[in-house]
Amino acid sequence: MMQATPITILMADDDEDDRLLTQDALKESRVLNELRCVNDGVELLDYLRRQGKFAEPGNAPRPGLILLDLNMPRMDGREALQEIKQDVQLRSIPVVILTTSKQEEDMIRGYDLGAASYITKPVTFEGLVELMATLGRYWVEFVELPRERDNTQ
Amino acid sequence: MATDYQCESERVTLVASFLRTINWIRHRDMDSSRAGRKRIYYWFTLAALILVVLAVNAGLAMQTVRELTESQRSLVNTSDVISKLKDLHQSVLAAESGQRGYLLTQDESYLQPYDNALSVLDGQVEKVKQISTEIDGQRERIDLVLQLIELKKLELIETVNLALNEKQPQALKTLLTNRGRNLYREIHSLFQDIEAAEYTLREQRFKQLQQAQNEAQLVFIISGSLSFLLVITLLVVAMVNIRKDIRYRAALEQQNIDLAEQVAKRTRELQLYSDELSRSNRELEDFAFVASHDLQEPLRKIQAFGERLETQFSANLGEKGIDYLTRMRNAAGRMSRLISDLLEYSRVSTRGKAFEDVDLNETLTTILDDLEVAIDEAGGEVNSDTLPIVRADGNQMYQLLLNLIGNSLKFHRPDTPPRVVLSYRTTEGIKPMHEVVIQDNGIGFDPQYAEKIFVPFQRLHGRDEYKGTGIGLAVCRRIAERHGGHLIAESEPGKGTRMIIQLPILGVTQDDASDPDHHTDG
Repeated sequence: MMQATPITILMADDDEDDRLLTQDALKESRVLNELRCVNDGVELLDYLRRQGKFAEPGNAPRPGLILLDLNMPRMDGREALQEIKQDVQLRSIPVVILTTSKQEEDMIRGYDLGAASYITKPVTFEGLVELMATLGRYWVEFVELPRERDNTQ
Repeated sequence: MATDYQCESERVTLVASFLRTINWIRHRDMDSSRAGRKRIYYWFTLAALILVVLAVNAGLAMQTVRELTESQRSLVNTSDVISKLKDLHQSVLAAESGQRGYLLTQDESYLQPYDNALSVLDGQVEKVKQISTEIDGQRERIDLVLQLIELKKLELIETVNLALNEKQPQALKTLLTNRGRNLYREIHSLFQDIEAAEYTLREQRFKQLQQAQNEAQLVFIISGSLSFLLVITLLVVAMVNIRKDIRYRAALEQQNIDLAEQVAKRTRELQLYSDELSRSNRELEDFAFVASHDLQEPLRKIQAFGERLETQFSANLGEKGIDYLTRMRNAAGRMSRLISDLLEYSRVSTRGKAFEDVDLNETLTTILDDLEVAIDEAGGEVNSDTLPIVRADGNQMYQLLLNLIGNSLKFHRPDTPPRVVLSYRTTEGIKPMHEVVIQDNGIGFDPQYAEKIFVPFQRLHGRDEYKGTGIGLAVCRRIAERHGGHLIAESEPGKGTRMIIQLPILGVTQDDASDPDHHTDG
């Protein structure tokens, strides 16, 4: 079921290369949704709460999916995930952890905190393209998500 | 590795310190045995001294008693002599008195004592004859007095008989000749001499007795004092010895305490070292993690962007450019594998699991299942004796056998399908071992490389001929060594390879490097 406006995908990752590769992979996999990026957990929460440099209206459309890296400066993915899932306004947004960490405890913690999926970054670009195609099909085409709640607070 | 050398040098230091301790104990024992011999001489001397003192005391006492007895006997004898002589004297005197009385008075009542005296006289003479005396010339004097008494007796009998035969005047005449009187005087004087001599002797003997008594007193005082001194000495010696013993015991206890302290110190040092080792192991582990994660990250980028370059700009790169790019990506891929292998190698000890009973037969069955495709493809065959149950890390036993059997399948001769035989026996000796031998019919290797093949990343063949980074055997040996065992390779080119795994039958205590709390991935 298609939505009226295509959802925005928000990527939180401090690695510019990965952001570039993800952008490329999305294009390659023909997922045409907008990809926006933030550098770390603090920026991610600012974006979601439209604070700081994201305060201007229209500057931070509510994402329909968050791709979250775990190891980031200032506030890492684990803390950010915890904040998001404790925030009534934000906790319905699906968060997919996309990280290089293969540590089982990161995985367990991630699911405990309410992550929708835990995915290790593919080694090859081909793998990344495939992943983006699958993510796009699943989260963008099939999954239904509630609308943003009381936006005016 | 540096830690192994450290470990070795620490062990050497420890052994040296134990040897020092043992040496010290041996010296101490030698000292104490020397002291022991000294003590024996000491006690021997003391015992000899006691015996001498006792013997001297006993000798003196016996001597004194003998002197006393002798004096006593002599004294008794003198008294006996005096008393017998006195009796005899008395009788002679009585007989004479009786005779005189009768002759002067004609009163026959005087004859009564006279007869009495005469009747006992012979007996008394006989007694006096038998007496012995110690005084020079006394015997002769006694003999003389006895002769005189005999004469006196005859004179008495003669005069009395005359009187009884009514020849009174003649008898009186005889009496008045003073012959009898002179005789008596002579006898009396002799008696006095003899008695005086005996009295003198008796006095002398008395004095001697007195002296002997005094001497005896002195001897007993001296020997008593000596005994007293001896007892005091013994007491002192005993006290000194007890005190010495107490001191010795205290010293021994102190030594024990010192020894315990030394051991405790060593243990502390060992603990410190062990902590240090754990720390360095953890650091190594962290390094391995960094190596696996952070070093892999840029490699991943090199590969990904290389791929992007190849797919998007292959037309612009040209054939040579694409070749370079492919080589670059291959190198990056190899580096990635090397890093992973290094991590695997370091994990043998840092991420090992606890030891348990592992049935190698089950391990082998699993391996053969996992290798089924590879065995079938090569047309190979793997046969095995019944293998033992060993005390080990199950995963690592799997890894060990898998690597070795995998190698046997991999390095087979091009025209010959691989045949792998696992045989099992136990070795004898101080430390009995399980010995599993994996024999193949593969390409083998030159014996001069028998050690080199266990060095990480050492390869005997080009990468084009056989795949792999060269970490497999290094990991295998590290696994064997972690279990207290050995891994030995024997071969000749073209004659197959024998890999000999030895694992201790009694097992080993587990190194604390394999901490179950540590995370086990990367």
